[in-house]
Amino acid sequence: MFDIIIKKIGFSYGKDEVLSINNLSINKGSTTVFLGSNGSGKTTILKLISGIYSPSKGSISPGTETLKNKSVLVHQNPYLFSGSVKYNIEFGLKIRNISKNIRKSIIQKVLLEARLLNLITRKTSSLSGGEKHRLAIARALSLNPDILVLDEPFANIDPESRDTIEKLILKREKNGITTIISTHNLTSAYRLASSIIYMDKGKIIEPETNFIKGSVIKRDDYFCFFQADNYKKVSPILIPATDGDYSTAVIPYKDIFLSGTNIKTSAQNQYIGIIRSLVKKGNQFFVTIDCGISLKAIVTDLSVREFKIKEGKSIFVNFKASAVKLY
Amino acid sequence: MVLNKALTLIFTADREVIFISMTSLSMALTSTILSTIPALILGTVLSIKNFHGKSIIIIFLNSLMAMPTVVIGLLIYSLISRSGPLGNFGLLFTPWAIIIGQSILSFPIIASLIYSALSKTAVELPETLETLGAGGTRKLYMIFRESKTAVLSAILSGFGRVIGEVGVSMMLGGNIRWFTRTITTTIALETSKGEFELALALGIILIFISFTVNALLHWGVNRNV
Amino acid sequence: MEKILFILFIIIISSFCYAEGQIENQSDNQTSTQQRLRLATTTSTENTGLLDVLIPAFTNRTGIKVDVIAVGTGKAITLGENGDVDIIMVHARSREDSFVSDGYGVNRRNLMHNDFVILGPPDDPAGISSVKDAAKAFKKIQLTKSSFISRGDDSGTNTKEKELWNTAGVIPAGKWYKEAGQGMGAVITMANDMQGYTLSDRGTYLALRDKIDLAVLVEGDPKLFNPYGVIAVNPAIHDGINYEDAMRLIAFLTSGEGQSIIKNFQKNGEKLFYPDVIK
Repeated sequence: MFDIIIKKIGFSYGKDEVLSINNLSINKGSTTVFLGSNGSGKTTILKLISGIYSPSKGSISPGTETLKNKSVLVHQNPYLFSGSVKYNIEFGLKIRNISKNIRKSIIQKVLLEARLLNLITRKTSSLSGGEKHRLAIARALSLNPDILVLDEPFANIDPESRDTIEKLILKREKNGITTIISTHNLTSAYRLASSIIYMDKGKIIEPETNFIKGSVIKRDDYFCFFQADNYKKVSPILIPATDGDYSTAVIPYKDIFLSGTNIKTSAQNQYIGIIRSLVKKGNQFFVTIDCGISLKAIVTDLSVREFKIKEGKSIFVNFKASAVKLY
Repeated sequence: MVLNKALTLIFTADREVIFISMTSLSMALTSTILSTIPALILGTVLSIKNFHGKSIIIIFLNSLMAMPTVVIGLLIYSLISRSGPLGNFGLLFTPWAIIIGQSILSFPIIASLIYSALSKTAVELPETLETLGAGGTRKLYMIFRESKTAVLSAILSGFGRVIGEVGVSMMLGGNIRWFTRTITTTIALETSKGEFELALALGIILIFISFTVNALLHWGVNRNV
Repeated sequence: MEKILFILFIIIISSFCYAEGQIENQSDNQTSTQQRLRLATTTSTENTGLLDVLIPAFTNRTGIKVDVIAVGTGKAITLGENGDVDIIMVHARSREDSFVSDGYGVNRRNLMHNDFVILGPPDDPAGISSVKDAAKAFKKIQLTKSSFISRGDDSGTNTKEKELWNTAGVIPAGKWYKEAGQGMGAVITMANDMQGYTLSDRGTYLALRDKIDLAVLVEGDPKLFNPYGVIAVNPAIHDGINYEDAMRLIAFLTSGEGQSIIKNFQKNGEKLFYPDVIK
């Protein structure tokens, strides 16, 4: 198992450059979600990662051939071979010369998880949209690839199918296998991703929200207490009380305000941190603060001058509980 | 009445009619089969790869299809005539000359129809095959399997063109009785003699043969779908 | 896989058909290893059915199998020039003479003759039925601008037709003169439909007589004489010419047996050919 490293990669259709990414690393075992609208280049990067496309320039490591062998791509409009569900599932297994008995048990398991077992002899032409998607994913999963690449797995399918697919993806994450997904659906993205990459017009763009993985460790009448993974030293984030299982907290940059002192405000969340970087964009600054977790905020250049915000300075980070959304 | 005559010919199993029918059928089948493999290859290559000269090949194929069969016959005649470069093979006025000519007739049709059919297949098909690990021949086989109907149509179109043609058969076969006389050359002969009824009757037999071949192939290919 | 079975199925059918065809072929031919003799002749000659009697008789006597290729006169001669046939039998004397003098053919023999007839509608608008001279009849057709259908294809019949126009001092042109570019049977049918005039060999006319309304209006003029010749293709001009068998065929056709077959040949109860070697 390996990380995927992308350097200065570009992809062009003829003279049209549709994708250009300077630097990207995908950690093995992670679930990476590419988020963006149609035409933002998500499909292209997915095809590069699964070895279907070769980059027009730049490099992707390990090479395209290795990636093709180690990954399976499921298209946005998956192609199912004419024939039965069984034929489709068996296809890849037969190519790998998997013996009949083992094939049988893999097929059973995978179809059961995808809730397609009762349809095993059905012809693909008679399946519903959701069933087709589940079959395509099951077909990919039967091969147990190191890298699973899914292009818009949630578009245009019924809620039950979406649910089944989400469960399938989460299960794989538990097993430490790399999953790459593209979608324009925020909810699913936030729910499933261990990291999110935002794309627009073929380039990676800076998001405008903080994305924190963690879990709810406590609840009371007013708040949920959300503890970020890997950042045990920080006190949990306060969020308006709500029921349910959540793994992700999302805080927009613009909802974070900075203060020079620990003033009391109606914002329930306040942390002290050190400014790590300042990036100017127009007449705004993107400020990255390390307060045990890494948070980014947007401030005007006026404020930067007023508060003398610069790298290394310590500062207070404030945001309301209601600014945080849980997924 | 014409239909009567046709049915009489069929049911009395007139020996000569059976012979010319078999001749037509076997030559058409042989030339279709011979031209199918190179046509499949060319059609597939055209749909997969982009290269210099691709458009010239496609234009050439389309022009070949539009040529009258007599012209193709003439071209080959000039090659295999005793006074031509390949005269020593003694091919002229034998069934093999007709088969060569007919293969050239059916080849461009099958090739360009395959090209057209494969170009229309969703890009997801070859990509899915690649990602699932299918390479080389298996990939090619699957692409054809998935375009089964179109491939079959292409081959049947090639067959149709040759079973009903007369220009090549006449020119290269010489319409020799009990040897290279086919249904179509007999129809031409009887028509020129003014024997229109007999000609029409043979035409009906030809339609019947063509229909049977088409039906058999469709049944054979679609059995398991 | 089902695919393979299916392909086998097709191959079997086609080989079966082909084999069937070949077997039919071989069973007629005891000396199947022998080279075939190729004879080019004209479509009108073949259409009379004479060869269906003459050739089997020859094969019976000699065991030599003959491929008869019936095409237009021009093409038959071209096939001879190209060495694609071993012997030609046509009825266009001037062109036959050139064929020999140009070195393409050797051993020309007069074989037989028949005649042409001028056909026309029974009511005879050009009034040629009383005319004995064929050229004069043609002139009358032109003067009355009556419908005339020509073969228009350089065949033996067409050659004769042009000679007659020439003798009559006429260059036929205009809406009344239709050049069909088709075989004799088709042209007779056209003339019948249009109730026009045409020049035909007697044999084809006899074959269609019962189906048409046209009548023989002019016959017997020596200008309508139609002689047939048989010529072996010169083996020196091409490799692989079956000269020996060609000479055997010529010998047969000009022998007592061949000539009497020609003499006795009848179509629809009428004699069609007159042998030239043995009268």
